[in-house]
Amino acid sequence: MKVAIDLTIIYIKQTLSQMLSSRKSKLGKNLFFIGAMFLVVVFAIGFAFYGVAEQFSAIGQGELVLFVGLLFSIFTSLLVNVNDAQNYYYKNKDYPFLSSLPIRQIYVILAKYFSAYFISFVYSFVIVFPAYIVYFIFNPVTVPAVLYGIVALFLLPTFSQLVGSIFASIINLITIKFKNKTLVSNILTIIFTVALIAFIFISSNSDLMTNLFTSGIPLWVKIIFSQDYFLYSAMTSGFVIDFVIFLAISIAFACISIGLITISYKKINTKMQSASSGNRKKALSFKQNSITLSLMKKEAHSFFSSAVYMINCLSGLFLLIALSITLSIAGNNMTQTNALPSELIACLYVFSASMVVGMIPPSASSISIEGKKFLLLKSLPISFEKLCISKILFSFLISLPFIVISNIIFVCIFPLPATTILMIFLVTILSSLTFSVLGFILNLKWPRMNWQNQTQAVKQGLSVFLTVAIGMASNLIPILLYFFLYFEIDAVLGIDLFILIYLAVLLIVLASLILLLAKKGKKMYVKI
Amino acid sequence: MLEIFNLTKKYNEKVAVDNLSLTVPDGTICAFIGPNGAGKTTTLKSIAGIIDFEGQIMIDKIDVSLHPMEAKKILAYVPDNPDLYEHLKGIGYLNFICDVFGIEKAERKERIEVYAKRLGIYDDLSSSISSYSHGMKQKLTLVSALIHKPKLLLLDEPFVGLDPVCSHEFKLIMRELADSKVTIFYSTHVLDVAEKICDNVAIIKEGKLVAYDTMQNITKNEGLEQVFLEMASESEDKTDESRN
Repeated sequence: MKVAIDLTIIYIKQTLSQMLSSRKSKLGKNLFFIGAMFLVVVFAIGFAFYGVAEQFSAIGQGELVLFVGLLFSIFTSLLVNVNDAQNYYYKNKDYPFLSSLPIRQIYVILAKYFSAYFISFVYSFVIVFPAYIVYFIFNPVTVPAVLYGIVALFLLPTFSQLVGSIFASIINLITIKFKNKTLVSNILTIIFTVALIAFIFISSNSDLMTNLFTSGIPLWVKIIFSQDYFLYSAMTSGFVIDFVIFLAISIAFACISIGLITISYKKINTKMQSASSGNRKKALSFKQNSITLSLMKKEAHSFFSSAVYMINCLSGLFLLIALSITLSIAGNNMTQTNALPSELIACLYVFSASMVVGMIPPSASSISIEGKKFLLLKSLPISFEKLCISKILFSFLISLPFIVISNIIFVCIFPLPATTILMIFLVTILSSLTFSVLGFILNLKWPRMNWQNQTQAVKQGLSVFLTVAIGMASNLIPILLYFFLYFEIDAVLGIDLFILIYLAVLLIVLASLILLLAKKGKKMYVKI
Repeated sequence: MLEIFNLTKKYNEKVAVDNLSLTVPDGTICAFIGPNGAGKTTTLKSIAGIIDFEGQIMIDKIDVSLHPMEAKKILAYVPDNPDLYEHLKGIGYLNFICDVFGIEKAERKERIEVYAKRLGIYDDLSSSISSYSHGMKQKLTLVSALIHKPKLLLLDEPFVGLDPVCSHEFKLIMRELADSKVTIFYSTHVLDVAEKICDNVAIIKEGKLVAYDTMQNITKNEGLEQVFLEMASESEDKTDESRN
């Protein structure tokens, strides 16, 4: 068992050292930076929950904010972590090495499970912790509730780990039967991800919220999200039995996940090692391209051949389209019933859309994903400017069609004045470009070049964490500010003017980032 | 011609290469040998413009620090481990390298055919690199290093993973290139091969150049292996004395 613990510690240490910096001199600075961003995100999420809690409290059901928080945490964990399991268990570079050592397979699986669990826990914590705080502001603080809450924090990720391990095992068990494994794996991953996004949106549609207000938590929610429901019940009522059921469900989830991986771990990994020999008869093409186009093609190959790299970005973009459909339909209902004015719906959409595109730019991990190949790239006569352009432009272009489609869907279903439509297009497109540049700069500063699986490069670098945090904070703050101005101090600030101010800020930020890249970028590039 | 003046590279406190100076004339094959961790790869990476360094490196009178792009256009670097873009096909990777060096279609076709056939990888070029063995990846890396006709070839352990036929063919290619005035600077642990094909030899230990001369002058009547072992033990003795 000690081997499993040692291996888990190695994995987690590796993740943390890559996130924070391996150099002690920079550790403090990076810790402060991450800590500050972490607090901003936690505060912004807490503020949003506070608004929800106020509405629940007005109808005497303030405790429901806890359930909303738990559900939101589950959805986020599912969206963010569900595909990671594939890379942790089945596409890891260390399989041949570990399988050559006299270590029991179960210990390796346990180590991998807990290292994946750790990342899931971090994401879960960011949402559940502020939900707890808000819950205790609106509800009495009792010893059992606090105790249950603390213990549950560590067990909540078992659900997303279960779904992740089921996805990963099914996808890879199918994939190994095919010759073109990458293509099959990517197609299946996209299908599963789109299905998951659809499920999450159907689950969290306005009917669920209406039911929460009127007749409480629906039965199907209690069944599917039984883990959350029993925790909610234990914390609000203080019943020990509910907490015991929560513990039993969580442990069962963990056991099923580990059992499932144990069954398929060796089979899948062994088959994955035997790569196909490819088509040898195909005629060779010697077509000439410009350096930039050639680099862009390389970026595209890299993007579409990595399930985690592609899905990390595309899931956000599919989410964007789902968001535009949901918000435009819900927005129409809300404006018709005078629940919310159209200005607030437009505000919600434009900044939520910007937030989604700001959180997923592939440029934030485009250097890390190169790994050791980056040295080869550096030895070639490719100018730094061309490298920047190829990585930033690819990141921007991959999002652009989704942004345009999503905006068209939104403005078609939810009618808005021409000026607002123009503002929506400008902000979302400029946000995508700005965050592509920002992500690239952050990755240039904090690349993660030594990784064991692509998830570590794509999701667990400091650059990715900061891009996600800045993307969230910089768009949540304007939403909260506009709502605050509208409801709290009754300041009537037109949405067009508000977006115009944000647009100006965004332009200044973009110009500053380009200037920073021009001045310091090359130095950072040489240091890698 | 490769000229290195007072090359020093530090990683935090550790000095990886210490004040190294040497000149490799045009058309020379120079072996760069030394124990593990002596600074061979760091030196090669510095010459290739991959890492920054103190001192000066000139390739064909071009300063690597001041004009890295110009220098990179006339050199080729083969790393010790062929980490390639696995998602590309072999031909895709070679086309990428040709695009970077601006090699036209007819020319690239001819050069790829020549070198890929000689190194025995031509039939596999339409396959994905992910399906390649270590040796095949090494062959592809060598082809990619040759197709733009570099003036300086920097090779880090180029023979690792190559089959005997390919290894023999590559030695012939190295000699042909040297005869056409291409400079080859390569690190190796295979001393008997180095002894047979190299004109010069540089020996590095703990970041310092401990010997650099023609192969004949270095080996005299002894084998390169014997000379290397003696130098290694001498350095250890000196270290022990200074400690005492």
